[in-house]
Amino acid sequence: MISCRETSGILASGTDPGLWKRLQLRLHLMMCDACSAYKRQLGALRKGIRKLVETESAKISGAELENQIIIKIREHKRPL
Amino acid sequence: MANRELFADRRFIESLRRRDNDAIERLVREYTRHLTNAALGMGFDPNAAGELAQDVWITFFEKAPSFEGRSHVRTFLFGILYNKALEKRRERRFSELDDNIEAVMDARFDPRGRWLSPPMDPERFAMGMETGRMIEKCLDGLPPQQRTAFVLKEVEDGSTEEICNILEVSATNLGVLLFRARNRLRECLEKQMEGPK
Repeated sequence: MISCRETSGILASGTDPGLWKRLQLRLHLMMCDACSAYKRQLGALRKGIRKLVETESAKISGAELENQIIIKIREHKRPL
Repeated sequence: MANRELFADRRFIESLRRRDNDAIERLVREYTRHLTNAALGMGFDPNAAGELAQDVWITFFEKAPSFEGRSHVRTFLFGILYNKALEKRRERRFSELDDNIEAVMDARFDPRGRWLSPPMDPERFAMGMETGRMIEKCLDGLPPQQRTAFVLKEVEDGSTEEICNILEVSATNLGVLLFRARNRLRECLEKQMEGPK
């Protein structure tokens, strides 16, 4: 049986621990409320940053910026 | 052909080198939003993120003649973004958290590896983040490499291989970066939500 410490380490680093450990991890999560809470917190972090970026991104006019960039690149001829 | 495959095609890369108008337009329309999103996640405000994306594109097309297509154009673009963001950040001087996250995590567990005190209720944790201000503050405390790894993973859904190429780190290193970023954020947020004791 893997410990909470190992479980949280695998979850946070996101590295694949291999089939055997993956099974143990699942079993551990089924039985351990603290690690399940930890896992859900990591999910909340993902949602949190995605939402933050989305809110800020709405303040940028994408099409306008893209047009500006396209014009700039076309004007900026290669230095040959 | 899906865009991602099209952009890896030799003929497409050739047309980029020639600065073919169509090729420029397709690429810019596909990736500018991704670049600004990554820049926002890295802590730039909307104006600065737009400027940074412009800079990235100029550099990209300056370098395009020598681009061999060994990595995907997307990886190449994010690599330029990361390096430019590092330069800008050096000028701005963020105040980073100086806590040793490994030690903080060590102290979370008893000798048998069990939680000494369980993580906060995830519902409450998620609710505390709703305004975005708390997570923003905690993100600002992350060292840039950790923050970028976290953003590329969570916002851009980058693969391990791609993020490793952008940051020029091994897969093991990336695991360490994500471990630290996520735990730092988690600890920082819990601390703020619990308030002064």
